[in-house]
Amino acid sequence: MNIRAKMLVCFTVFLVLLNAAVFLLYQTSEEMMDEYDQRMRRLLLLNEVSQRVSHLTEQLNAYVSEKEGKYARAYEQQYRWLQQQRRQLAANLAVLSDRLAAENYEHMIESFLEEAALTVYHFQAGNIKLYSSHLHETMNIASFLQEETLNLIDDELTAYQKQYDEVARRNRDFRYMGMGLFVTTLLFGVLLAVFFSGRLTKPIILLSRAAQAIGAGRLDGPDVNPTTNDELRLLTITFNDMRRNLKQLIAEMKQKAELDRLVKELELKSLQSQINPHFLFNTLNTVAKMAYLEDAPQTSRLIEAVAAILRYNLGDLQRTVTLADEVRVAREYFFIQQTRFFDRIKFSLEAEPSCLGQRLPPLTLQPLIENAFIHGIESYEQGAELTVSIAEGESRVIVEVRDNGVGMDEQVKTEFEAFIRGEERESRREEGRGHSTGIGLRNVIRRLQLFYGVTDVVDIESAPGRGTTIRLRLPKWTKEG
Amino acid sequence: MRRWWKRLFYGGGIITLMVSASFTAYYAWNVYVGSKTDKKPTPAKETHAYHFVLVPEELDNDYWRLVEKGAKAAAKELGVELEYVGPRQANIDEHLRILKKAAAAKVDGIITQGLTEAEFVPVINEIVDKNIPVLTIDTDAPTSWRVGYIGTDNYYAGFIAGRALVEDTQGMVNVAIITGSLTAVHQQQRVRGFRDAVKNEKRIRIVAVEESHITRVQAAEKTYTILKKHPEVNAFYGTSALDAIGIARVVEQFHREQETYIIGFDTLPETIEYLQKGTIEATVVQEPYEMGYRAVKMMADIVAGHDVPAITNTETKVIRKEDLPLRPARNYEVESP
Repeated sequence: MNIRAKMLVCFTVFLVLLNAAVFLLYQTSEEMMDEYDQRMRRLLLLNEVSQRVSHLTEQLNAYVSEKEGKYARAYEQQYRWLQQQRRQLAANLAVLSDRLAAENYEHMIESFLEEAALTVYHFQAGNIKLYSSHLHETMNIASFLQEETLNLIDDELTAYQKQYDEVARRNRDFRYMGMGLFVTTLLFGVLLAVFFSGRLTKPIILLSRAAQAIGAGRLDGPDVNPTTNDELRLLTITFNDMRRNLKQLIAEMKQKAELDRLVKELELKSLQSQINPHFLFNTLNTVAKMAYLEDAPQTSRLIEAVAAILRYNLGDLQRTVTLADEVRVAREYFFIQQTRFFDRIKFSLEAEPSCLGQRLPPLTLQPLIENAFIHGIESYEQGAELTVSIAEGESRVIVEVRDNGVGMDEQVKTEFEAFIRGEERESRREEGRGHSTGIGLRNVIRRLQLFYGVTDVVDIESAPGRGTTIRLRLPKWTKEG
Repeated sequence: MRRWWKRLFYGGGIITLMVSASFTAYYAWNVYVGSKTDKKPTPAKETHAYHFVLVPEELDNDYWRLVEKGAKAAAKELGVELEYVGPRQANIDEHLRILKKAAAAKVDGIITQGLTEAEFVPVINEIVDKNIPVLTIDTDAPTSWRVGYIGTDNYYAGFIAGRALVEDTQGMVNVAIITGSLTAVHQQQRVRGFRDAVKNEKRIRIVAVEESHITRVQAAEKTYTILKKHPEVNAFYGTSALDAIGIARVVEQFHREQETYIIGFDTLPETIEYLQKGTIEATVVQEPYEMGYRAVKMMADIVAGHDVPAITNTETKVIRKEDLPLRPARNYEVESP
């Protein structure tokens, strides 16, 4: 049931309740008034009959003694009224306790009217004796009527008196009922109002509180629980979804921003060389050819290696490459360094062919190798070893870069491990040591984490004097990316 | 904390509501029930049943109450309405007025006594003139246009009283008569009958005749006066129900019950007592219940158009102590009010 319907029901209940109460009171009051009214009416009717009978007699007497028309007219008036009322009288008085008395009364009025009419008739016909006796009779019956009226009134009042106690009691009951009804309706109304208004506004309050929290910046918090089954339920659910989405979006945006920043950093560093790549490549090509033409094939080979590396590094840094590509570039690097350092260092690279399709961000392997080279090996005069091995695990591809160099301090290692776990997000400006491009282990790790969406992509094993092993644990990902 | 308050509020509210609602319901119920019983069941207007009026000499007189009982019983059987109205104390003017009123009220039939010739006959004739049949009961008005008479043959009743006196006594008897009224026809007849019964007996002499206006007190008074004036009186005859009782009381006061013969009329409880005691020797019984009963039946016949005999006499006889208890009781017992 929607909110509107609920409110309508609530109001309707109120209305009906109030009206019913008022109606009940009114009805009962009416009934009671009615009884009084009836009684009064009877008494007043009896009184009026008595008065009119008396008037009629007067008028009749006046007429027969004064013989003036106005008396006759007045007499006629009373006569007609009594005639008309006679029938109704019976109906009205029928409720009287003594039905016989009522009947007698009605008949008596009839006799009275008859005698009066006869009196007038004989008077107008001039029959003195007759009209006189009828007049006498009329007056007798008039006095009977007066007597009977008083008796009837007396009966009525006596009957009423007997009932008076009951009537008083009923009045009192009615009063209590009225009071009780008032209090009950009031209480009921109040309870109903409090209850319904609470139920209606509770979800609104919950929602607004949650909205307030969001306004203050806190996107966490439990979902608001929809308690009712109306429009607010939809609102609440939608609200929850929106909040969740918002939270997610913001997180994504943050990630994206970070990624952008990292890439920018990478690009920036990478663009330190402000050399036009085309010019560089062309120059190198020319140099390579010249070397070859001047019969220096090794030189030519070296230059080709450099060109390859440069070409690779200056490509789009947001692209995805395969391990195969990385390995290829690594080999070029090895070739160059081997040529330079000859015996001083031994490079080896083993890769399981099945892994080489693994997708990963570019410039992952090379910085590691460079790092290993700089931090680990440059200090050695000889016997330095650098090994790269790539193997396939169940769910990950394991890439190890091992050196037997000076190793990391405990503190440095711990810092890295903290970084990996995500406890240290500040990008530290790494001092460029030696001849590195300074891309930095941190950068590589972070890009890997963002690329794969997991944090445990890197293990570091190192101890001072015992070399360093950087192990990449890359979730398997080929082709589809 | 909020929760607790809320519970209290709702709980308290609901309890108060219940109390208030039941309070209201209780009184509402009272009012409703009260109104139902208050309304008197409006008597259904019956299809016009005949409406007869019985006008006694005196309203609360025990004798007439018996007549009323009989009349009402017959009325119930026949399904007619019987009204019983009369003067509170025997009063001829009042009596006549009530008759005229009943006539003005156009009742279907009137049953009453023909107490005095002079006053009652014209009124009865007037009433009959208005097409309302009149039946005389207990006392007849034979010269009027009354449609019939039912009651004791009062002359005969007086006569058998006289015969009883003759039979029950020996030697000189000076008898004083206390009569209810010197003008009422039935009383006159009872006295006449009595006189005729004893007139051939030389030894029985009627010493005085006084009237008591059918009250005990006056009966007693007159008895007292008579005893004072005529100490030779050794018998009393009371012609209406209360006379013998008044007589007996005074005679007992004078301690003369052994030598005084009292014969009275009707069978009031006191009379029966005196009878058993022996103070009263005999009493003439009538059948008031029968009178009332048959009067109503006769009236019903009359209005239905049938003929009724002009005179119907109910039984009357003299009873003495050995005839007690009386049967059927309905003629003799009055319900205590």
